[in-house]
Amino acid sequence: MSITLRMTKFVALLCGLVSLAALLACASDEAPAPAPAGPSAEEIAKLVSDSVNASVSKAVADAVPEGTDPREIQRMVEAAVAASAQPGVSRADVESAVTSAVQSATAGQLTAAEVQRIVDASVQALPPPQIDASAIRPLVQQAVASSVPEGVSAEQIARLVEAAVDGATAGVPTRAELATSIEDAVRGASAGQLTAADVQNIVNASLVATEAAVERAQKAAEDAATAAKEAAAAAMAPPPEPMERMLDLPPVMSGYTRTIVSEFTFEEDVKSPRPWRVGMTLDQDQSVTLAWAGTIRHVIPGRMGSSYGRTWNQWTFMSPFITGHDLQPQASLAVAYDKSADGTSYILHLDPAAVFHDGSPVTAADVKAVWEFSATPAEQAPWGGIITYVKDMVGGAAVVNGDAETAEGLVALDDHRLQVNLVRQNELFPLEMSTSWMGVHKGFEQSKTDENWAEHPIGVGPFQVTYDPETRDVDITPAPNWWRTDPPRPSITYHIRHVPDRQVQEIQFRNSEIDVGFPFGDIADIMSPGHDLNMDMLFRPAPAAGMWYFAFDQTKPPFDDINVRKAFLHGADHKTITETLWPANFVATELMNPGFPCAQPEGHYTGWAYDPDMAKEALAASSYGSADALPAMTVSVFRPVIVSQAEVIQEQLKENLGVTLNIEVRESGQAEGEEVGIYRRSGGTAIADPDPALWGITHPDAPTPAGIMHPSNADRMRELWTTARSLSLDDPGRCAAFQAIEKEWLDSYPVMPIIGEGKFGSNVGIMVQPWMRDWDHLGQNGAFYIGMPYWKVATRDRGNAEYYR
Amino acid sequence: MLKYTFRRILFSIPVLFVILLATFALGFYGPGDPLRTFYGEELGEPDPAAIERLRKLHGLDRPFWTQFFDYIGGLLRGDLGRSILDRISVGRQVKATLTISAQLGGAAAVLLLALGVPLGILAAVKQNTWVDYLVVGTTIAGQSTPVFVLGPLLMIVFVLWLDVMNTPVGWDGFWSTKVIMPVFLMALGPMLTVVRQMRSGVLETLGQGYVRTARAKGLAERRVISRHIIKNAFTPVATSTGLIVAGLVTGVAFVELVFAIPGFGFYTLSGFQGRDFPVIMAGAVIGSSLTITANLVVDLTYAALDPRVRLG
Repeated sequence: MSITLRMTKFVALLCGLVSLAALLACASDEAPAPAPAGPSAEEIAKLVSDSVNASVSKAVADAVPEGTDPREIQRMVEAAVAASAQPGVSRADVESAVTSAVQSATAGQLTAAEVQRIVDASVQALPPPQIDASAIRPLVQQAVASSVPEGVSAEQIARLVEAAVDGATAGVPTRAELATSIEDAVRGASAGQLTAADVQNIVNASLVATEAAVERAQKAAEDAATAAKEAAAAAMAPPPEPMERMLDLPPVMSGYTRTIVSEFTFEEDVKSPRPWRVGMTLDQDQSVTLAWAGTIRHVIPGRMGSSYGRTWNQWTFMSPFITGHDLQPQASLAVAYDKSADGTSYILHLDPAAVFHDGSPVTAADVKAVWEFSATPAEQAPWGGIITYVKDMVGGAAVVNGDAETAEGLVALDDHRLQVNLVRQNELFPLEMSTSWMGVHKGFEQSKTDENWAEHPIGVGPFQVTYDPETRDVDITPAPNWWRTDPPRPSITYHIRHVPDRQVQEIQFRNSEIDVGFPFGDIADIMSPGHDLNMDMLFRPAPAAGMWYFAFDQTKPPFDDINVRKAFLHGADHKTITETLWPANFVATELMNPGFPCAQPEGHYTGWAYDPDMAKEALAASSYGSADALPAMTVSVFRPVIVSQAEVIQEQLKENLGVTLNIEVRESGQAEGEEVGIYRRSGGTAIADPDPALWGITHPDAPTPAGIMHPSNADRMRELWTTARSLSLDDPGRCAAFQAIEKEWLDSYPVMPIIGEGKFGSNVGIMVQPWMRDWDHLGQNGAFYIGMPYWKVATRDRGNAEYYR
Repeated sequence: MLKYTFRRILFSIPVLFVILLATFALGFYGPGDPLRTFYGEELGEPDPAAIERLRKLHGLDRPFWTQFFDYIGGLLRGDLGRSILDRISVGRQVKATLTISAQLGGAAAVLLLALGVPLGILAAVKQNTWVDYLVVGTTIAGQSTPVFVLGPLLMIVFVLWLDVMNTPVGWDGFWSTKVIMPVFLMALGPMLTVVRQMRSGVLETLGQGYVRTARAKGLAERRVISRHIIKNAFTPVATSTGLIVAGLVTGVAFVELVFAIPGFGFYTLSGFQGRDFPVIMAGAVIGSSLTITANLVVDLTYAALDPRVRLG
């Protein structure tokens, strides 16, 4: 700009001297000389507008990612334009500047009309306002809206827009600069003796200089656009190609069919209720602190039942598959499976690239070894965990019983193929292999030399876990030897701190000391919009199945009589009782809640409604006829809230039916007494399929209902189960078969309901600080932390309202 | 005195044996089963075969006396066994947790005496004045309010309202400021006992002839209190303080629970909740040993405090 000014002054001085000489020689009342040839106002305006807008539009159009929130783009563009656009020269500006200069320079030697003509002519030659943020903005927005390539973050967009606008406006003289330039030239040249022609020449020279500046601005805009385009191209460059999965699989064995599962993807459309937004900055401390109320006793997959601990396992001890957002198996440690025609044998194809945290390759023999090791009695696998699946493998039961160390049904065909032969047809085997219990580690090897191996297990995955038994704290840190590129090697760490008191957890949460916690106190309270922590509770309803209930022992009188059971169900207001004692939960009405695969189409079974009259009729219709004839009945409970529930039921049955129900309150771990006829039980599933959802509660041979189902009901249920299990997953009648099982069970009045799974029972509500971004959780299938490698921590600031937008 | 001490130690062995036998018998014959607890009692009836396998694995299927003497044998070798639920060496856990609890308990005991004794004297000297009422009233309130109420309440005040500290949870070593609040609460619980005993002792001593004589000699009141009253009034306080300190050192479970301190008290409480016999037995061994030791120390202290007491 200083060169421009100097040039302008030089030209103006030259013209001034020439004009002065002419003025002395000629009459002073000559008409003003016409303006020199140059770009017209329209041409300059078009030049500037086209160059600037085209450059900016092009750069921005290349840079904006797909799916960006329009409001976010709006803010981004406004911020960029406001930050970049310089004040330009408007007609009014120049008019004012020239008038002022001429008036000060001519000292009254020109008539007012002459000065006016000069100024008008000058102004006509100037472009319209050269930089106008309000004009640029819609162009940028249009460009953004019309072209939105993927892969560019909001910050990158902002930077690119800013660079483009900066480039387009660089070098354009500002109002103050041009006014100063003209005034200096006029004053320097005239010394109070200019004619109208002199003034016109001076102004023309200034316009020439302005034109030069505009040309440079155009060039700068083009350069900026090129740079922005290159930057956009670099930013949009796809991440390095995921390691090419070597799907050079051996030929399919005779009698098998192959399924290549899809790769695990962190889907954008369901990614996060708290996405990363433009303007956010990463916190320097990318370690996440979580607080837990429970005892973290187990970090090893095989040692887990249904504890919270399993939630991170998909990323520390990878299972053959992982449950995706579509609730179907996706590639994890294995990339494909072959299934035999009868569904009794599978071959898992392990990813050849897979390595343990210690760098050693994961082989089929390792997977076989860790499953066998985990199922042995010495590993003390709990009910419902890995032993459920190992028992289904040929020879697995012997391992579980401690009678054998290896299961002959597990055969390592080569390094990357593990054949699993089952004792029964199992269409759900791939889904079972997606549960965290089947996670792989080197415990089978470590345990030989290190009795405390479980405190620092060697697993497979992007994270490794360590456990401190003295503090009960767990640390999850990026693991060495991560063998895939998606997710990339994480830069975030997790510290899971044992804080048993939930009230203390809440204090820590409010004081920003913990980033994630389970809901404190009354979940229903927090979920009400007026609660000050309401916005911090993330809740993702997940399809779920299961129920907590009081089970009648149908083999003992009086509960072998369906009418007695019916009277108990209708004789107490189970809905009100549950919803009072279990705030924010709902009473169980069926096993598969709406949204769960194969849930009853009409939803919410109503056959168990509170109806004292119906209860009385049922009791009267029973073989006992009245309450007086009923034998002693006892319900066994031990948890305080369940004791309260039993007490209210006891009271209502007494009031409505005159029935006396005894309550046995027992100690933890104490066996139920012989006289007990009602047991507290529950059941659910980690797999989104009606088979496991119903089996644990309705199959007469499952551990929970075994021995307490009425023989006639048991026979009927076995028939229904045989039918349902004979159907393949894609059989159109499969859902109806399982719905028939559920309906048959519900209509037999087998239980008094407590709470249903699927609302809060599946850990779907969680307290998350607002700076936890790209957060996602599914709340079931062990995939609670499915987005774990992708999470980011923005600057920790609870007062930042922007986080809650 | 040495002979007395040695005899007391010898006598403590059968006492300890009886305590262990009683604890073991309660665990063996009492209600509750760690394996049933482990399997999750409400998920369904545990597979009896699975329960039996684990019972055999942990040696719980053997006769009572075999198990008991096996445990005693291990104890004599310094082996406290392994947790049934965690399968982690109990000795290792005891060492880690008791170290923490002992530090906290020791600090709390010092604070207890440093505050309790002067406050008791003050309350006695200012008997039936507002000072007396304030001291006694405050200590009553301190003891009456459960720590799981008082702990979070103090946290809310100091962390959220005054914003002068982070939530004092966990264990970062004795010199961390995190220990201030738990130590204060540990001392506050038994403070009433010390204050009231000291107050009663001082009031009783004030009426003694030798105190009157001391005053008649023209001794200053401060000198009368320090030379003639405190020493005599402290004897009953020493008795109770010994047992209180033994309790503090083995951990105050609820303080440790509220402040997430991995101490011996919380460890033992978890063992009780899970019916984890080896952990429960460790709690009994350590707790009873410390109580016996504290009693011995108190008895020995008597002789030092009161020349009329003769050991033997």
